[in-house]
Amino acid sequence: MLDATLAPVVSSALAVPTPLSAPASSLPRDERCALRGVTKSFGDTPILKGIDFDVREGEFAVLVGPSGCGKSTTLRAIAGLEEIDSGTVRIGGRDVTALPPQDRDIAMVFQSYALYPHLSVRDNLAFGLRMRKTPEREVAMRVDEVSCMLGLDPYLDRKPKALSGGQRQRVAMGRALARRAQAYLYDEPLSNLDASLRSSVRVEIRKLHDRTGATSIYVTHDQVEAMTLADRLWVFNGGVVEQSGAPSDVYDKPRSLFVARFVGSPAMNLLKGRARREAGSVAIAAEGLLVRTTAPLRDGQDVMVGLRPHDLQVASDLSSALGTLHVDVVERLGSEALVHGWASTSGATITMRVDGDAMRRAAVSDSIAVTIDPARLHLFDAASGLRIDAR
Amino acid sequence: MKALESFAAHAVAIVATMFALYPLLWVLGLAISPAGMASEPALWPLPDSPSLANAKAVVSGNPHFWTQLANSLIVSGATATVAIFLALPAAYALARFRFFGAQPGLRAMLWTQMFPGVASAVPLYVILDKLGLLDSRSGLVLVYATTAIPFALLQLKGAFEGIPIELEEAAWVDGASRVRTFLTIVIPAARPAIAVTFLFAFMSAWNEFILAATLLSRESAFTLPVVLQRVVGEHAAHWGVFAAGALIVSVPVVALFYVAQRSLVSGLTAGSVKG
Amino acid sequence: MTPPHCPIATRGFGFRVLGFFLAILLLVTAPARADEVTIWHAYRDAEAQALDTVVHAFELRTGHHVTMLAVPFDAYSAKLAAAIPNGNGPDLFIEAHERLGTYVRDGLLDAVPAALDEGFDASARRALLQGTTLYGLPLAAKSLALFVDRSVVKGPIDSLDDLPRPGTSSTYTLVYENESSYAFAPFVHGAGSDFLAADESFGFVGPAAAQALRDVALLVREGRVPAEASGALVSQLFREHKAAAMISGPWALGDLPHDSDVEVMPLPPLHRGGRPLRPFVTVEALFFSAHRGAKASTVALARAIAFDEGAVVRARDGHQVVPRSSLSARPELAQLASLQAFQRAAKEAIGMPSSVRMRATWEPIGAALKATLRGDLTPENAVAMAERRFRDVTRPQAPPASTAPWFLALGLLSLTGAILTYRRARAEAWGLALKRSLPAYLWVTHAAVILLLLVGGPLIVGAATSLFAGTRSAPTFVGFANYVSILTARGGELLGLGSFWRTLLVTLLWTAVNVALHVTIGVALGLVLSRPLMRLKTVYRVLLVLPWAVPSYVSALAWKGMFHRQFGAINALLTYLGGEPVAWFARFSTAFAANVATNVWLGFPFFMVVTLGAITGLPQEVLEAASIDGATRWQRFRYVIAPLLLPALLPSVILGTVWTFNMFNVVFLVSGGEPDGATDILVSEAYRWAFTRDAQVGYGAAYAVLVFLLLVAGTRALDAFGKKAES
Ligand SMILES: Nc1ncnc2c1ncn2[C@@H]1O[C@H](COP(=O)(O)OP(=O)(O)OP(=O)(O)O)[C@@H](O)[C@H]1O
Ligand SMILES: [Mg+2]
Repeated sequence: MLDATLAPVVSSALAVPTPLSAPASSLPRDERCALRGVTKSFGDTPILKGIDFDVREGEFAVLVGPSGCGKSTTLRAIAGLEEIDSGTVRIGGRDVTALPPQDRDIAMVFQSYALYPHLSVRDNLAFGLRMRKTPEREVAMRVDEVSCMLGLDPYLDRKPKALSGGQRQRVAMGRALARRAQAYLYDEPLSNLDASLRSSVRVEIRKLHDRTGATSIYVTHDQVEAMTLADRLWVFNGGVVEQSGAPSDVYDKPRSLFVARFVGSPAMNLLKGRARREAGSVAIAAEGLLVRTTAPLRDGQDVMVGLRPHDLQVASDLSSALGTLHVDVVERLGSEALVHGWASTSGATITMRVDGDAMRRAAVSDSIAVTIDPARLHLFDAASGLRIDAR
Repeated sequence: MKALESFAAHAVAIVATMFALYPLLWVLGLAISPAGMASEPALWPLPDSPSLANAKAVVSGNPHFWTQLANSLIVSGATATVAIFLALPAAYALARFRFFGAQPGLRAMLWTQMFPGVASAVPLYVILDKLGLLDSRSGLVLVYATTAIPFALLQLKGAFEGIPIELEEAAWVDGASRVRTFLTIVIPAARPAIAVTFLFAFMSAWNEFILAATLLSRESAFTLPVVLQRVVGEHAAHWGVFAAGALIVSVPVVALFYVAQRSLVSGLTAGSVKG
Repeated sequence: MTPPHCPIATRGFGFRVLGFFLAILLLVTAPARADEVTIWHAYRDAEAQALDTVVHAFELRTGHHVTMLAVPFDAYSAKLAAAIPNGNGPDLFIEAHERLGTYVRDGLLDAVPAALDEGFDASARRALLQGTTLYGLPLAAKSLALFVDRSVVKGPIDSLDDLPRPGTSSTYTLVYENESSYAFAPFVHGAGSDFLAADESFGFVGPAAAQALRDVALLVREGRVPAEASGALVSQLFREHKAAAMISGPWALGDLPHDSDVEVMPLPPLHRGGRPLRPFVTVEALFFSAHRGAKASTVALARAIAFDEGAVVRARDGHQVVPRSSLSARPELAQLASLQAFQRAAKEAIGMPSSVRMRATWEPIGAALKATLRGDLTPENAVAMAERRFRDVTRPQAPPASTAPWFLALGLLSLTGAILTYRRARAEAWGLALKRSLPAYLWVTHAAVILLLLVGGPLIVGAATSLFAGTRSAPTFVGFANYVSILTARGGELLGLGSFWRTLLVTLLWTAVNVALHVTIGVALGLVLSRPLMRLKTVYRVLLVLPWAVPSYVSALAWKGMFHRQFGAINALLTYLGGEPVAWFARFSTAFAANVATNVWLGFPFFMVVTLGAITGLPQEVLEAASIDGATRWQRFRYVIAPLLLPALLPSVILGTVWTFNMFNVVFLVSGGEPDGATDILVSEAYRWAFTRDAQVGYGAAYAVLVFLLLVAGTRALDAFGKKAES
């Protein structure tokens, strides 16, 4: 992975060996972009409450979290667009906390694109390079390279207002990519696009990153974007980092109720339950389902039981089942279906995914016996919201 | 129904246009009729036998005409330019920085514009005298700038507020300094508003004559409206010559208006609509 | 390899800007040149040319360089008053003697060098005396005389009754500026009254004054004299043989065709055997500015202009009646019959007093004249009104007030301010805020300094003037006396004509009506022109902004002409439609309407453009959604467009309000306050006090301060209203 980023990336159109990524550096691997204890408040409202954050060379870091949790603020603090109250920001091994944005050597893609309206696409792409006194020959070369890569060739001489949303988005992206920066920051760059464009551009971004290996920090709301793009996922909540790790780790082992709720689509079923110690195991009655686990729980401990819709299965016989799901709604998505129902009339709605035969049979007011692989069970302490791992 | 509506719209527009044009036709009639003011009441203001005698009198009856035209152009152009150059950075700061004294300062400046000029003309004269700028075009420019700068400030501040901040942030991230961003991104993006501001500053300087007549004491330093005003004397006035002169004086401003036509709508709005 | 495109203008942009700026400054600064002798005048046409000839000859003969400046009449006295005390005035200037008293009081004049006091007619010389000192060399005597069109009138003329009745051989018997007090003066004297009595008290009193008013009103009522005839029109009607005779001055000689059969004679009596109509004679003189030092070249030039040699040229080419006794015999002048007639007329005329009080009579008597001509007041009441007004203007100055309490208050105020500042400065947050502000100050300081110096300074000085009374040269501190006097309507009726409160009401009405019409018309046209499929949209738009582009003094004068009672287009239209012509400036309502029409015409394009811009900014979807929801056109406007437009228009409305409130040009040029100051608004009133009513600068400044306070309060209220409407 690291080597890939160091190797010159040859653009398909131009046989000019210009690396798009930052040149090789002798930095320690962990020091591409790092925040230490960063805090920030607007007036009396604390927004960032001590963010620690490391992005490695060539890594694609994705920040997710609910609206207003401080993702953009974090990104802007890295870029230097937001002054921080305390803590340090290091980029490429330098402490840049006191530096203005133009001296931090980063590139950024804005949610609203922020294309310079009076400049043509070509000049938009070249702007950052010219600001850094790049020789005009090289500017032209890199602009051509980027425009070719993003398919912007036909539009180079147009003004931004004559472009479609997707095209503008690509120009915004190109403007950042034309630069050689220590890090590339993206603030929800796809949120203004329609669904199909979004998914195709998403794939493009990933491909691009695989090709260039540029260190990237990417803010999004979108589950799919987060899971597919990230090398590492950072889940923000209320101004702190709730969990970070590879997307699969976060998905498989959410560290808290918050992360469990937030990551994964459709969202994890979370049922209130109370532990009852039995011989060798613990039984949890959770809103009409009965779950058995070997996790270290106290007798009478209140817990939340997490069941991912994708992990729930139709049980072959009732004895191995957690309980019965009374089907309320069936959403057929083609190859699979989402079944919504409840286990007990007082309980919460449970969602499960079915496919194949089960999908075909599923019908409203059926009862389905459901089961789950105990290893895929998530347990959280109801009081602290923290994950309880099975031994 | 559609046709009726469109008919009504045109009717309104045509009536309004007639209302707008009639007095101007009247001036035109005066300017091209050799006899001066009509001594018979007449609805149609244009004379049967137009003559250019009045216009000729304005241009050739005045040996300094071209100098004075140049004065007018220089003074008005300089006023607008100076006002805009001074106002640009200040308006930017008012739009983008929060700083101590910004609000009170802005308010005070607005208030100064509400003070009738009657009272401050003489102190202004004394100041110019002390600065040694009396009877010079620079002095006149400075005086006109006192109204042009506040106007330009407000107008441009509004325009800057209407420019999305992300545009500037993008430029900073791209490596442009604050000043550079201002010069290469903000100013070009505010071009329509700057054009309109220029137009207004130019126009108000172009049309002013009382201060000019008071402050200038050389024939070759006069601006055109002063000369025009001289046609209207104590005992008698050559209305025909006055009208012809008025039309000549109006031409540059009308031309500027025409050129700025596109910007007029967007530029004016940027200033007056709160971002 | 290099792609074919130009790099954007980033590199060196700053330098280019700077260079441009410097170039402009250089271009603008034209060095002033020191000339040997400067002379200012307000002459035009023949008189100006004659003066030119004289001065040119002088230059050729002596080698001195002379700079001549023709100043527009409107700005002449203000310019002299501003320039001379600062040593920037001319060496010599030509002015009528009527302001002599004011000029001497204000210290603008030097006495005439004794060597030059030689050979002038005694009467003309007398007019230029203050005490025993001679100020100014008489150049020309100007008085009114009767011009008779001999192609129409044949017989001898012993009285105005001998002129043909209207309609017999010409439309009118007589034409003259019948609304000006100057042309009214002969009738006043003819009726045995006077402007100023010998003891400097108001002379226009009693039955004689009323009789004079009755006389001139009758001339109009009988159709012998056209109403509302102004300068240019008078000579034009006469030239076109529409009037058998004209009362005018020597300046009209130049306007007459060379071959015309016109006889000039001194004004006869009104009726056979009556008292002659004796006009005022004003003496135009060459004055020596103070603060210039008497240079030999100045004296030489004065001699060249005023003495025989120059006088001949001025008389011959400039049609001037030169008061040089030695010249009457000169053959080249003897044959100029009209000039001789004026000479005779001047001899019989009454020398116009040059005192400050004399100047104060014009406005009251003019007001009485106009009120009578309109039929608003009986002659007796008009006379009474004139006297009241005269007292108003010449009321004794407020007693000087002690400055001590003021300095004390000022001291206390600055002390409190200093303490407060100090305490705030000690609070840490404040210091931090200041530190944070530093970068911003780099951007604003230059503009702030210039504004402070050029706007703040004069404004504070101007506002401070309001605490003084008297003239510029001799101000006395009177504290709030000016304000008290204004706010109590100088002891008269609170809502009487010319009182502050009444003017305020007029101003408010003026502002409200105008802004309402501006916004209504502007928005309506904006809506019409923003119809997406409208054809010729651009053409309309270009034509409709024209009123905005034409200088407002031009359009104001054009409108005034269109509202002329007899020759204006509006009355022509009314007549054409079968209506009666209206005397627009005779009644408050119509004069006000005329002003409003003019101002609406001037102002609607601005709101139209603002509306167009605001409509472009409206979300198109909202409008479409509303029309899909089944809203009618009106409902769409009322519930969707209007609420969305309002906030966008509000700043412009506030701006428009301020402009209209202070819209001096229109009121001053169109109605001129007619009738009788009723349509004056606060600014035009301030202007009158500061410049025309004996330059009571402090009084005018107090008006200006009151206007300022009203506007600040008003706009704050409007702003608050806007904020509330937004939330
Ligand atoms: N200039 C500001 N003044 C005051 N509060 C602000 C300011 N900018 C942001 N905030 C607040 O800070 C919090 C975090 O904002 P931020 O933009 O970082 O959220 P976010 O995580 O990016 O949300 P989203 O996903 O909606 O973009 C929000 O509650 C916001 O209201
Ligand atoms: Mg955000």
